[in-house]
Amino acid sequence: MNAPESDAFVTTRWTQVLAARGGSESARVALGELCGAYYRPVLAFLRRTGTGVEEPEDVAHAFFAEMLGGDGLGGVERGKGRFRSYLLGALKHFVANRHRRSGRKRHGGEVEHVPIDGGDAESGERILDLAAPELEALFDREWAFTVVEGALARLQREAAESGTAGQFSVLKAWLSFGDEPGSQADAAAKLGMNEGAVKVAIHRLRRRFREIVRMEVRQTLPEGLSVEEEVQNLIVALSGPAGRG
Amino acid sequence: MELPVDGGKCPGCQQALEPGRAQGLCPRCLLVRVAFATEADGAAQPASAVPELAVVAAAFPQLEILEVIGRGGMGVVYKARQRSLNRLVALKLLAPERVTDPAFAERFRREAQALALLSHPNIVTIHDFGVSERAAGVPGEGFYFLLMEFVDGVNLRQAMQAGRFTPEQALAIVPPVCLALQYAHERGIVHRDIKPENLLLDREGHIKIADFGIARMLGGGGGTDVSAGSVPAGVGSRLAAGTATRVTAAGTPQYMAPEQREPGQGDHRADIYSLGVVLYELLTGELPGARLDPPSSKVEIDVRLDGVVLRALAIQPELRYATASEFRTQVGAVAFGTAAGARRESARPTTRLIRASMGFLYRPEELGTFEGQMLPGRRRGQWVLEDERLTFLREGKQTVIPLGAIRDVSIGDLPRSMNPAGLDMLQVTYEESGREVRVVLLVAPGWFAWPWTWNAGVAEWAELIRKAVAERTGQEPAQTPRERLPTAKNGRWAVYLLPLAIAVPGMGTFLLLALSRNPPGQDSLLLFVTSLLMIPLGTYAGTLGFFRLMRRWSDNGKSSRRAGLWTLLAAGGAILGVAAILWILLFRPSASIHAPPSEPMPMPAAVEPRQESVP
Repeated sequence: MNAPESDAFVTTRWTQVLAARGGSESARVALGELCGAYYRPVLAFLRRTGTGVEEPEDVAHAFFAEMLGGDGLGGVERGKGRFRSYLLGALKHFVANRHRRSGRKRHGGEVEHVPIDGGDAESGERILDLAAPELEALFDREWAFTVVEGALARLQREAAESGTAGQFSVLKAWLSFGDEPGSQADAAAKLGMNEGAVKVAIHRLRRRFREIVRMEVRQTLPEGLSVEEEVQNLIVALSGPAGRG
Repeated sequence: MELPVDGGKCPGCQQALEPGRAQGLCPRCLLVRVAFATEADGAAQPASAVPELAVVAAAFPQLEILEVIGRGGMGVVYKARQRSLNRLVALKLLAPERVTDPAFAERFRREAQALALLSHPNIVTIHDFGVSERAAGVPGEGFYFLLMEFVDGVNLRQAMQAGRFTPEQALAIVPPVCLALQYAHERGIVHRDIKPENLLLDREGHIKIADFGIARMLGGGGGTDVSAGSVPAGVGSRLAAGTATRVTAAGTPQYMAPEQREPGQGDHRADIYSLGVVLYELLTGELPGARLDPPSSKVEIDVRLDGVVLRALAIQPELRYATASEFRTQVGAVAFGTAAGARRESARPTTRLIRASMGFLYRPEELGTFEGQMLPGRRRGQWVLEDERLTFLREGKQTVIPLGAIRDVSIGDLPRSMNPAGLDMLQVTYEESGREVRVVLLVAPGWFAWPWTWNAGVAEWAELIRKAVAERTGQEPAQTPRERLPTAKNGRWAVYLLPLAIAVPGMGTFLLLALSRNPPGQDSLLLFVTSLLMIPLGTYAGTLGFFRLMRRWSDNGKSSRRAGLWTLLAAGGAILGVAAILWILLFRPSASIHAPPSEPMPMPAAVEPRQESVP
């Protein structure tokens, strides 16, 4: 878990950002936190689209700097849309601009060259189809991973704080997998607890995980969109083939 | 136990896992648990409401308690395996805080026995019920429990969240639910808490009703709970649509029939109302709001569904479908029509909707008031004629006139202000709790109508209503002659106002212009503007007044002679006004007697020949 979200689990709401439309300093801070938490999907997206000679990490930083520095929220319509969709839109825009600029630089001057038959043979660069569904799917998938991993990291941290880190590492399996009969008894034996206590602990763990995920997802939604629906979307995003770039 | 993963597949969803991510767990299954673990927002529930699994497991040694599959105000439901029969069951524990009534045990036993008799493919079967042993270390009594058939699937709420229903799918849900309700109602059992959470869809797509009669079990003791909470006091005011599902003791406010807000009230027709709310939500994605908009105003569906849905949602139980079967038949008729693509009236197996039109409803006495006469467009709504009743829908209210109660259908005259041309109106007299009630039904063919189009529309509706009443009751309604209708005695507003409305601006303009010492350029502008206003108005009043007069005289009419005279006067005023303007237009340049212009005006050449044509 080296993703930045482990420390900056967002406490600010996308709605606040939307309400202020980037106008206030606190909205800017809030946006910064949201962006920080969703660094990973951006990075995955950039890796897939290719960043030329620059490191994808550097480009990601440039992207966030542009978002947070200028009028990154200029295009936000009040009360509309998810943060996820907004970030993806901004990212596509950024990548498209960047490619256009680098193309011009390479070819010299302001003339825009239109590559023929599917590629620019000279530079070996692919034509980017930024609207490709695979790209969005990748972004959403990474996003879903970020949500899940962030929540797990927080559970782990909470367990460590309450001195039950060992219990967590054993019982976390029940967060996602089913309840094979007997397996809880093994866990109980391993942890030196009775089976009833293990059941209770698993139940609490699940409940806490659920709370955290819902809270986290809610942070990225505008008013009026249901958390359930967004969780469904994330499940769908995770349901495709792995296909990592 | 080790993590059941070794870089392989998730044992739950069989999806390949990505090593090194999500702590080796399956992210998809993690989220699935988040989405489907509870029916309400689990995070918002107080933790104490759900007994811990271990506690429950200890109380039910014959069961292997697997997980919580739902919870609400009524209690908690666990998925469990019955060890003896090795089958999956659903264990419902009634919320302990609800069980406060000393008579509860007896009521619970009685109700559960009645429920256990229900055996229907669309009702979740009750296997067992009772009170659990008091478990060691658990305070208080044992749990009141119901052991039920486990339905492997989702409830309708979850299905709705996963994706919108098409109208066809929505309509397919209702008939089986109606069948089950009818079955239970015939045995004297009312559900009282029909809502999407209680309608379960199994994997084959079969629907089953859960929690029959539980609301009654729990609600009987604490009846006052029903009206507590967020329910507005006024019966009849519909609840504002909300997103959160708030649960009270005996029913869920958004789905509750209005009469259920009174403790102990509500019979089987309350279930029909609740199912109506569910259908409305399935079709539109929204709960019926304070304004009861017909579903077709929100989504593109067969307009015949409006009548079907709105009838189920009638505030008075007597106006709803009398039985669940009837509801089913009507939904079936529309669903059949939709599926067959049959839109023509003749092709329908049962004709429900005869005619619907935009229009207005007045009480005859309102037509005599100033507001009624001058602002006829303020109470726009929808008239719907079906084969058993005539309904007016407006802003969440509805006036329902059962066809069987209609005694008289007559055509009369609208007051003159609305009506210089002699527009007709339809007056319907019906009986309501022993009194005669008269309403004036206006049907507007559109925003603008010629008098003859309007009157043809009125005549058509009169005919349709008479025919429908005759079919329903076997007897034609009575008809009162035009002159004897109470509304023929019009208010006097129009009589005074119409000529005044024309004469005053006309005279004012005339005087203004005659006395004006403005240079002619400004006069012409003023003239142009006033004539734009006056000429159409004058022409309208004049021509249509003339039509009306003609009809009056040809009809017969001693009593209407005075009205005719007034109209003539109004038309005369209008003609005078127009004449005044024309006179000024034509004579002004040469008739500047009051204030001779400082320099002579050039006479427009075109004016001279026209002077001769003016008297």
